[in-house]
Formats: sequence, structure tokens, C-alpha cells
Amino acid sequence: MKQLSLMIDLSRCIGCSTCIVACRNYHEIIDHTRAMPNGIPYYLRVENRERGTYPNVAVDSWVMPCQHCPEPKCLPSCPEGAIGKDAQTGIVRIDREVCNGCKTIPETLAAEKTKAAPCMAHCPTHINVQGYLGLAAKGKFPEALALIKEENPFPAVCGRVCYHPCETHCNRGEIDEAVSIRAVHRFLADLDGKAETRYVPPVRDRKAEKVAVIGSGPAGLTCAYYLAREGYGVTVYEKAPVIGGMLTRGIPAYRLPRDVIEGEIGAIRDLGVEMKTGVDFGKKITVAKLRKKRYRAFFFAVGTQVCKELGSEGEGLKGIHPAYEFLIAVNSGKPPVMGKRVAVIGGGNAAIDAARSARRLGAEEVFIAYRRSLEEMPAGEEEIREAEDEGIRIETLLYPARFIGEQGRVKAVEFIRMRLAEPDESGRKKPVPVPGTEFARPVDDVIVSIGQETDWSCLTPECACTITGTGTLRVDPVTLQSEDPDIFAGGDAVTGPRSVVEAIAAGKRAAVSIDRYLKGLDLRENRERDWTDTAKVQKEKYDPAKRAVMPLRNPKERSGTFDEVAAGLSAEAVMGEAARCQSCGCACIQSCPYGVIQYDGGRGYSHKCDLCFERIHVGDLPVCAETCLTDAITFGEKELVRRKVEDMGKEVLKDLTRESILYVR
Amino acid sequence: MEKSKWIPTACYQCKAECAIIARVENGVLKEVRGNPKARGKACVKGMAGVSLEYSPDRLTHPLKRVGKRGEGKFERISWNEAMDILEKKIGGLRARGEAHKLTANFFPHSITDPKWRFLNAYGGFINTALPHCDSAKIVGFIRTMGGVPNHHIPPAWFAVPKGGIMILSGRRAFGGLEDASVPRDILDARDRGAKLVVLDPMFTPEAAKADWWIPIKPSGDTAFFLGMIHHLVMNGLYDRAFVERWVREGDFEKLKVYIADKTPERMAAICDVPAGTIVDLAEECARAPSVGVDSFKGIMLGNAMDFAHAWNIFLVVTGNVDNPGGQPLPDLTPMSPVEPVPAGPNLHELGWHRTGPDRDRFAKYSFIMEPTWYEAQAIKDGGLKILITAESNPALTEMGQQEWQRAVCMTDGKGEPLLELLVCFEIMMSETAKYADLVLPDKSYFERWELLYMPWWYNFGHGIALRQPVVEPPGECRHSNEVFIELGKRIVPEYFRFENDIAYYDIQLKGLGLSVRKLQEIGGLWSPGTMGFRKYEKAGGFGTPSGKLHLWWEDLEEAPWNQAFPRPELAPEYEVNAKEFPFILVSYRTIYHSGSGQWTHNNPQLRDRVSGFFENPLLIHSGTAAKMGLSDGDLVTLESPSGSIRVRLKLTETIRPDCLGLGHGFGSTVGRVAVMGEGVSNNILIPDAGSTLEWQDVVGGESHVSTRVRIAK
Repeated sequence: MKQLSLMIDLSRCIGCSTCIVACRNYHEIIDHTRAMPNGIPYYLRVENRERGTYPNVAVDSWVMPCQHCPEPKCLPSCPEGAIGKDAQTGIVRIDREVCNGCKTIPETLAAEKTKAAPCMAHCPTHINVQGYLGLAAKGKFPEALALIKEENPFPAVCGRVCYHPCETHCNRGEIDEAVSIRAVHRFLADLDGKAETRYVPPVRDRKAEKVAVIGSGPAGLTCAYYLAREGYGVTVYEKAPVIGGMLTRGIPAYRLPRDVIEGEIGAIRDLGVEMKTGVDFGKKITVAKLRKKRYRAFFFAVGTQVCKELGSEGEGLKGIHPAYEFLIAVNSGKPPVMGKRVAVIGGGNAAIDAARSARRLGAEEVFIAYRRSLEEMPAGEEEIREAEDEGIRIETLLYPARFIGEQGRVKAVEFIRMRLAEPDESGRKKPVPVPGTEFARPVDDVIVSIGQETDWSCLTPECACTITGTGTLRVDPVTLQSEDPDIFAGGDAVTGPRSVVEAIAAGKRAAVSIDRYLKGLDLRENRERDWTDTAKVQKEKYDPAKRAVMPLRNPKERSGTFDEVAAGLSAEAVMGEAARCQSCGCACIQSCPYGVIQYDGGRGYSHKCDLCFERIHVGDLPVCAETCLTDAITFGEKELVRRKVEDMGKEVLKDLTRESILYVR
Repeated sequence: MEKSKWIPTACYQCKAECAIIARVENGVLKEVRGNPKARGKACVKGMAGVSLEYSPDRLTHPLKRVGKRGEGKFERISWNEAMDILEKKIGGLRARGEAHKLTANFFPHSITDPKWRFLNAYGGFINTALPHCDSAKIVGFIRTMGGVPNHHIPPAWFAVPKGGIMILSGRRAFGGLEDASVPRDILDARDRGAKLVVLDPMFTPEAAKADWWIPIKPSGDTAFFLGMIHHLVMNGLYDRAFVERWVREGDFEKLKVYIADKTPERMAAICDVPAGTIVDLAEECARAPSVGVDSFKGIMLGNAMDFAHAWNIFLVVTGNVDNPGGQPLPDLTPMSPVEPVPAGPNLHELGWHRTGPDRDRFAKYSFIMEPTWYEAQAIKDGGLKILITAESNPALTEMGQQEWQRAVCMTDGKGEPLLELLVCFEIMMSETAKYADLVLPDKSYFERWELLYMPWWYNFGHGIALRQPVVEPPGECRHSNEVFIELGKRIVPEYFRFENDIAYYDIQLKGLGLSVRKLQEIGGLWSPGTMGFRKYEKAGGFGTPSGKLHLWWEDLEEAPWNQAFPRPELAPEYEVNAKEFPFILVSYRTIYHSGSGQWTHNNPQLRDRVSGFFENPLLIHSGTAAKMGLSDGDLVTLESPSGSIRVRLKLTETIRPDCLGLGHGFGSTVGRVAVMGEGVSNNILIPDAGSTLEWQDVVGGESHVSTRVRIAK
């Protein structure tokens, strides 16, 4: 037998659902005596799209079975190894004897198990966290890492600096403490540290089209990574002398060691991505020039470089350092000399990084002044805690009214106390000054970390795209496409300063758009997946083990060195920690990009279309093909079906045909 | 384990009654397919029949009402007690000389139905379970072409030649209310070079597959077809040879005079389709080797007869009568009569239940069956004393259903109910059953014997099909036919001398040299093998009084208006109240539901969002909604001149901006699945026929699902 396939003819499919009901009846996945609407399992579903405006409208309907992907995402996500791809037929099957429904107890949480686990739902890059924890718990570390790398090319970076919404939303927190997901993540990523053994994903067929990525931060490099995997020629242009953007220039090494970043950038380079540093894009190299050189798409991920100003009196005094410039200097090994008393203005991670760096550079007394309360502080909890461990004071509800100088150099800051009023448009409570509370405090240096903006001189006049009132590039939030169809943008340049993982998500989103754009497909269709997460916690059985604690270097030893603070977990600790996962959903259901895997709550296993494996082995058609009301479904060997498409003069619909199932018209 | 087997039978999820096969394993129904012997298909409703069979809502014992009508309180009784009540009450009415005040409301699966025999013997009336959606269509055919009435006669789409034209005028041909193989055959014809043209105010699933969608104003079909007829006749593009040979003398000349001013331009103004489109389609039709037209809901309007008439004239002048790809003519199957043949009540003498100022005129529009939708009025008038429903749900399907629900609860001065007995045969508790005095558990179509006889059956012309039990019924279920035969034996025994339903069918099958057993052995289907084309040539004419085709309907020439030729105006109910009620309501249907019955609405698979139609939102054009400041999902009040419902909006580009779309059916208050969601019944918006008789006279027919509406937030 050869690889089998279905051809679904949209010129005949009327979306009537006859096949769905016939399929349910045959596979007996419905209990007719108990079934209620909107809760009956299905192996097929109808999708519709309405196009155009009245009276020039078109409606397409088609059925969506399991796509029997050439590289099924469900298969590696299963910790039990219950999913296999039949070598003879290419049919992806779930072995019900092996599948344990991801540790479910039959008849409990049935509806919840089909939703996304909160960790995956809330991760901007939607890593199948439950899947890799399940694999890690069994000691299947390389498999777990491969699962991460499907969705995120920077596991070692994220394993260190991510703000881990996965942990924040972890349902285990309802029982005792959240699973230490980031620590597991980091452990897995660090296994891949050596360049010679590093996992470099395979590259699909080489394509002729070239794409330029401007900016080598996490957004740009992620986009490059995914486009290179698709076979596009990608060139990354970086203004700075080093690749990595904020990763290398913004985040200090004690949090994110340089070799870790270089390792992950190296893997992207290994995919064939060309990286050029020291290129001031918009000067010698412009969009117009690259368009002539057959670059078909551009991704602007230039981040934010221009530090915002407070606008307070005396801001131009010597000894007042914009945070980003300060961090660049620190990270390039040419740090400015710090005085004994350093004030850091701001409440984000950059403020904490600056404060902790200043401490490492010898400042004795470092304090952070933040204008709102601790609750509103955007910096991560761990960062705050570790800073405090290092003796850094955090003072809230303070704002620098003016800087007092002497001979052109700052010597004190006059602060004014603030109080919190009604929330502003950002949703956070608005700080307002309390008159008469001004007081001065002597300082030697001040670091101002109140955010950055983008320098858009990289966009030359031939670009039609425009900048918004807040200084970001105007793009479609779903596709990241600008008003120039070939120009896309994402990351901080579009959102303003945000986290690394959000930049990675934007790079991935842009790569999907650019791939579709270059293939001439609809950019918007089916982009948004339902990330409703499961709220119920499986409390019936759980391992009462306590959360593993990340060992940290003694605060006393941290001063004066930029060595990494967090030491990492042992393999045993990682396996134990991963086993604390409550398996809120099912790993395979969450992994499937097409949402075709079903869950049987009564018997506690996952199940899905197997192209009627038993029937086709005795020469019968799959039930959908046999019962199709309009004979819109053709079943057969993939190659023969393809030939039939040609013989019938049908056109393969590229936008729908992604895997083994051929959609034609 | 028992080897599973496939048993041929007939579906009854809708009135198409497709030939199916059912797979049974260890006495349990597992699957359904179209019967390959009939080139058959089974649609989603047919497939979901398995869920119907095993619904936990199945009634299993006779029930007697203990609360008030409509309250839904019952106690279990024995069949003996139930039969005694039936015999006493029904026999008593006849003894009083008021047999004609009994009406049975059911779908006459065929003229072989023993319930129908009982009524004819007893002297009662039959109402069709489904209101006369298609009566105007049938009357139109009989008047023009003669022939045998048949409940729907779509063109034989499998016979459409390359280049043929298929026109669906307000017809959801993919909706599975005709044979389930229709969608396949239309698409096959299109794929071999026929053209599909859809006239519909909505961009239907059929329009999505069509070569040409013409978003016509609702009920503009008459004007559209008259415009085409004008162009064909005035420009000599009609089928001259056919017209000369087969049209009654003088009719065509009269038509020419009548049609002279029905120019495409004038008709365009009525139907809101550009004159150029009317001309283009007319010319395409003149060139095409065949034109087949199907319509259905488009004729449930006040001007239904006018449209049926225009449609027939169009078929005649283009020569598309009983030709491959055109309009088929049904034929009789030689069944044997069951002697003695009861005469049946004389409806004209006894009077219709309908009692309006134009009572006699109404006879022109009807043909065999009493229209259903005057039950409420008949109860009030004392003309309806016993009502028996079987597989029908008038409490929801009546126009102005509220009035029906009120009428069945009305009492006289002494507190006695005006309707003396209401009996409901059902497989599940239904809206109507809630009001019944006796609720009798019926057998599903997988549990009973039935002989289905069709003058024209899609795929094989006239023929017969056997519905046979494939599984055992639950509890004490009895088929209504068995009960009627027993009642017949008790009340009119001279007409029920045969043993049971099978014996009754055996007698009729003798005419074909068959018996139920033999029919079973040959796979449950019998047909002459071919539907036959141009049968009139061999017969030397048509079944009309003149033997020719009648374009002019002389008996409709009289006052109050001349309807001897079709009037082009929109349905009157769409013309009045236009200012206060700016929208036309389009009552559309989906493949998932057949009318308002529990069979589909209480079926979890047909209400499931993945495989069915869960809620019934009001479709509104996005632009219209934007102008009114309305958004997707808004809950609004939809008002007609006679009723209002609360419904949620769904914005779409697939409907005319001057129309609103609402699915037909829904609105049940019983059945664990049927009550789910926010589905509302469009029938609430339709005026009750009984209390608006003058209105019915104004519209000249049956404004059945048609009304103007407005939206209030």
C-alpha cells in the first residue's frame, strides 16, 4: 500500500455535514441515548468562508478531517508514545491501549481536557508546555527540547529571562505552588549547549525568494529562523556591531550569559541565515535597493533604541545616564565608572538590570525610585527579589521633580511623593504628585529607565508605510503587514518595549504572514486559534512533591561579577518537577494545529480520524467518501489522487492544502 | 456476534422518503446509507435517523391527559383503555351524523395509507401534516398539463444534457427535502456542461455552486418569468413546433395579447432584477437543449398560483415538458383497489372548515386535501370536534400558531371543550402532544410496515417502495396505521375485512403481480425501469380536459379579479405595510431540519453546531445593520403586523439588504434537545388564517410564511 490521501472538491462540497454524522455512526463515537448538542465528538467538521460583498459574494465550504501530516505535531508531543504514523499508508493513528488521556481519570474533567492548558494558552509563543513536561518527567529530554524548538528558537534564553506567564497561570498553583516550568525549560535547553550536538531543525525545499530582516533582536531572528526553515534565503541586517539586539545589548550577562545567546544565534546561522552587522539600514542599504536585488519581503524588527526623557529640570546634567545606553556600555565591556550612591528611575526589568549592574560595578548604595506602587511594577517578581537580595532598595510612589547639579554634574535628586488615582488608559492606577512633599536626596549617578522609542530613519521615502502617534509602525495586528504589502514589522518597534517572548511570538507571526504573502495566499485566514484554557484543576490525584527551588549564587558573591546568578536544576530535580504537572489538557490535542483530535471522557483516551483504517484494508472506502452527499470526496493513493486532480483539470487550493489532504476546485 | 446486515427501507426524516438501507447488528440500528439500487443517497437528516431511533425522549406507553390542555400532565394508560376511548368518542361523533367534523392531520405517505382509507370510510377529512407548501405548484401543473398530483416533482436532474439550464427559483435543492440524490445530480449535470442558475434573495448553498446568482426580490419570480416569456414570445424565440402541436387552440394568441406589455423593463421594476438579466437568461433558455425549473418556498405566497402559472407557461413556450432535463410528468402505477372502495366525504357539499366571504372561490386553489391552517377557525365555528394528529405538529406549524394553541383550549358556556377530542400519535412528546387528550406512542419509520406509492419518484419515475421494520419498537409502541385499522374494524368493519396492514398492502400489490413478501425479496423497490420521456406523444395528448396544454385558465377570469393569466405583481403581503414594516422576511430552510417536527429539532446531531443547526439567528445584511447601528449578536425584537419574537442578529453579505432571513421551524417548548438554544418560530409572525380570513382573500391564497417585518431593539 502507498501513502493514502483524500481529495476534497470544493466545487462540490456543500458543507451539509452528512459525512460527519455518518462518520460518527460508523465509528460509534456517539452515544445516541445520551448525546446532547455541542458536545458530541466528531472526526470531521465543516469550515466555511464568506468572501466579497453583496452582491458579489462567494461562500466556500469544506470538510476538515485529520490531515495525517507528513510531520505530525501530535506524534512527538505524546509522552506515552501512543501516536504513530503507519509507514505503509501514512495514516496517523492513536493507540487506545497506550494512550492514557494524559493522566486523566475517566469521567472527570472531560470537557476541560479538550481545552488548552493555561501554560500553553498564556505563552505568547504557545509552546506545548504540558507536552514537554510530560516527556521531561519520563527523562525524554531531547524529545522534550525538540517540542519546545518547534515553537521557539530561543529556549535557553527564555529558560532564563522569560516572564513565564505559563507559571503565573499554572493550575498547580491552585493546589500548592505552580510547576517551575522555566527551570525545566532552561535545563532542557542547556542540554543543547554544545554547537556540535545542537539540534538544528531540517530545512524544507530551498526557495528562490529572499527576505530581508532588519534588526537582529529576538523578533528578527525568530522570523529569520522560521523563514529559513521554510527554505527562504534570509539576510539579517544589524546596526550594532553584535547580533542579538536587546538580548546581547540590553540584558546583563549575570541573567543571560553571552555563550547561551551565541549558542542559539549559532543554530539560526546554521540554518543558512546570513547576518550582517554594522549596517545602518536606510543609508547605503535601503528597501528600494533590496527590492531591486529581488528581496520580496521585509521584516522590520528594529526594536526601540531612543531613550525617553523624563522632562524634569536638570536632566542634561552629567552623571545622568539613560538606562539603555548604560546597559549597552556595560554589556559591551566598557562600563562607565559609577559613584557610590546611584538612583535608578523606573520600574521595569531594565531598571532592575541597571540597578543590579550598577551594584556589580561597585556602587554601594543603589535604590530604585518608582512612581507607582509595588503592585503596578512591571518588573518580574524574581528580578525584584534577587535585586533586593543584593541590597537594592526599592522605593515606590516617588518621582524625580528635578535634578540638582553642581558644576554641571548631578549631586542630588529632588523627589516628590505620589499617590495613586483612578486607572489611566493603560489600566494601571495613575500616579499624581502630592504637593508639598518634595525632598532632596544626594546621589552620585542617576540611571533613567522610563522606556524607549524607535528611530525610524531606516525607512526611506520609497516606503509607503506610516508611523502611529506613539511612534510605532502601523501594521495589521493579525498579519503584521504594513501599508506596504511587502513590508512587515513586529516586536518592540510595533508594541513599544515588551518582553523577549512577545518579540519571539511576533517574529513567528511575521514569518507565517511572509510565507503566505510569498505564496500568494490569504494572510488573515484561520490565524486565530481559540485559546480558551482549562480552568478546572485535576485535584483527584497528584504527587504532593514541593516545587523545586532554583539554586541561586549567594548574594554576597554576586557583587563585582557578571557571572550567572541562577545555577540551574539537576536532571533528577527536573524529572521530579516536571512530574508535578497536573496535565490539565491533552498534549496531542494541544499540539494539533487543525483541532481535529477528540477526547473520550468516559474511557479516558484521545481519538481521531484514521481514514477508516479497518475499512480501507478490506477495500472499502472511508465512510466520508462513501457517504458524501455530492460525491465531493475522492480517496486513494496520494500519487494517483494527484494525477486525478490533473486529469480532471482541477486546481489544488494551496491556501487550504497544507498537509496530506488535497483541497481542490 | 451477529453478522451485521443491511436492510432496504424508506427514510422518513422528511417528506421525500428516500430509499435507504439500514445496517442492523444484534437487533440494533447502527448506520444508514442511500439505497444503491435506487442510485440513492442519504442526507444528514437521514444519517441522524439513528439518533432519532434511540432518543431517550421516545414515548413508550399510551398517555392520557390529567391536567389542562397544554399543561403537559399525563398518566399512563393501557392500549385497551385508549382504544375504548377512541372508539367511543370517534364512533359517537359519527353516530351523531357529524363524521365530517373529524379531521385527521397527517402526511399521506401515499394513497395507499390506511389512515386515509379510514377517513374515507368514516366520512372525515384529511389535512396534510405539512401545510400545503406546494399546493399551488401542484394545482398549476394539473391545470396546465393535467396528470397526476404528486407532492414534488423536481426535474430529473440526472437527465439534463450538456448545455441544459437548471433554474432554482427560491428553491433549496441542496436542502434534502427532495430526494437526497438531487444535490449530486445537479452538480454532476453542471460538471458535464449544464448551467445552474439560482434566483433567490439569499446567497444560498446552491448559489455558491451556481454559474449565475440572481438576487431577486422575494415573490418577484412571477414578474421575472413573465418578462422572459415576453422576450421569448415577442421575438419568436419560443418553441414554435411544440406550441403549435400541443397548446390548446386559441391559448397562445390570448397569451400574446396578454404578454405584450409585460416587457422585461416593466417586469424588472417589479422583481428588482435588471431587464438585461431577464433578457439574457431568456435567450440562454431559448438556445439551451433543455431547461428545468424547480421552486418550492417561493410559491408559499399570496400570489403562489400566479407564479405556478407563469412557470408552467414558461415551460410550455420553451417546450420543456416531459423531456430530458425539463419538467417530468408523473404517471400512475397500476395498483389494485381494495374493495369495497369507500367514497369519501363530499367536501364541496359538506363544506370546508374554512368559512370566509370567499369560501367558494377558494375551491379553485385546492385540489384534494383540506388545508390545515383553518383548524383554529373551524374549532371556533363548531366545524371541528375531533382532531387526530399523526407525525404532525400543528401547534407549531400553523400560521399564527398562538391562535391554534388558544382554540384547542377553548370551552363552551358549560365549560366543555369546543374541540371534544384531540389525539396525538407521536414518537416523542411534541408541542401538539402537550395539548392532546390522548398521546399514543407511535412506531418510528425503522419499526413499521408501509407501502409507499408515488406517481413520480425521483430516480425511477413512478413506482413503489416498501418501508419495513429493521428493529423492534420500544415499549408498547404501535404504528398509527395499525391503530386506524383496528378502529376501522370497530367502527366501519365493512371496509376493513383484511387482517392487518400487510394484508391490506398485499391486495393493492396484486395489480403489479406482487405481495409484500415478494416486494421484500426484490429489494423493497419496484419501478417500471424507466421514468419515460414525452409520454404524451405515445398517449396522444395530456390529461387535461382538451388533451392539450392550457395556458389560459378561463375559470379564473371572473371577479373579484382576473387571474386567467398570471398577475406580475409582488405577493400582496409584501406590498402592504411597506412603510411601517420596511423589511421582507425570508423564511429559509437548511438541510438539517424538516419543518417544525421533533424528528429533526429534538435530534442532537441535527442541532449540534458541528453537524447541524443549533440556533436560529436573524440574518441581516451587514450594510443594513451598520445603517441601523446594529451589531452581530444583538438581541432584537422582530415584529410583523401580527406578532413579534426576540431573536439574535447575525450579520452577513449573503442576503438582500431589504430582506431579513429566519430559518423555518424551531420554537419548541418540549424535548430535551429541541428546547436548547434561542431558536424561535417564524410562524408566530404570520397572521392566523382563521381570524384573518379577509386578509387571506385579499392575498388570494395562502401567505404562509410570508410577511413584512421591522426590527425594534
